[in-house]
Amino acid sequence: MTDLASFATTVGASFLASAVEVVEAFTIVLAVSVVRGPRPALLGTFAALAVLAVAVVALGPTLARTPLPALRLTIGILLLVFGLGWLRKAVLRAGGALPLHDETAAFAAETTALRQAEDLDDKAADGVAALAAFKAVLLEGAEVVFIVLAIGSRPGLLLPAAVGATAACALVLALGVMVRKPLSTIPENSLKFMVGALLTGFGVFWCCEGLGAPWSGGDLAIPGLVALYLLAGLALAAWVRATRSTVEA
Amino acid sequence: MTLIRAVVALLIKIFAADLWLTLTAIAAVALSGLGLQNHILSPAALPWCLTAGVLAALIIGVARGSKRQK
Repeated sequence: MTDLASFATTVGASFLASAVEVVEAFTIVLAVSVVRGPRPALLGTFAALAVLAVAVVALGPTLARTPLPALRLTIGILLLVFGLGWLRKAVLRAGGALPLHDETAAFAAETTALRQAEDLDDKAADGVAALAAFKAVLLEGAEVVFIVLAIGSRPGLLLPAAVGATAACALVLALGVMVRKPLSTIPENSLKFMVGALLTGFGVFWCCEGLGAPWSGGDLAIPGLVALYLLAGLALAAWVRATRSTVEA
Repeated sequence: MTLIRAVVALLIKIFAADLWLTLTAIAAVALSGLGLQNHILSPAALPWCLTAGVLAALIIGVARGSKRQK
């Protein structure tokens, strides 16, 4: 039961978090592909993936040498900071206090910026386009790598975390290739809401383990923590909405 | 240069966009650890205290964010 709960939570968390990041990277790569063709888009994407692979290979042994409690505490704090930030922003967006992230607008902004570079010669314009794809995949990919390593840092859970991330990449890319436009219909804020709660739950769990005071229920505490932060987030979003409508009325 | 600027912007976005939230989360963990070390908190109570501390950080962070946008 504990193993199944850990496995499901790890795959789910990794899948959802990666899907959010891949959607954002895909929007930029698609913009590059539409404006300058698939060559610079693929060049930038594969170059970024190569840099990420080198970083993972280089960082792996360092992580393996770090004492386990210190590693768990560091990862826990990073997950907590990351997750709380996402959850807070998703709550404010759901409550109407912040505008929703719009992939169509991001796509339009990127294509406009790339078209401005078309005054350059072909080679330079392709270089600018490839760099845009490289930057997007590297930055969003770095977040995916961090999330996968952090969520999968318990023995035996790296593979499920990697499976979740790979499935998310494959699904988003398949959808993107099919529709050939920004994936703006994906409920990004709902995903970020869920991921924020997941990362915060994982963060609290890892901090407790790192401090030497683990939950008595073991891994089963993770779904409970996630549910608590999710419910708290939903209640806070409703409160933000209610206070905003009171102010507007 | 653009790339370095983007990496720095990403780090700022992650950790310093709401510096208050980041510091509160770190403070909650640090206070829980200190409480455990000084025997103010038992190992069984620490997870509950940290969970409550993080929840409080979220509530205050949202309240601050909501107030700022009004």
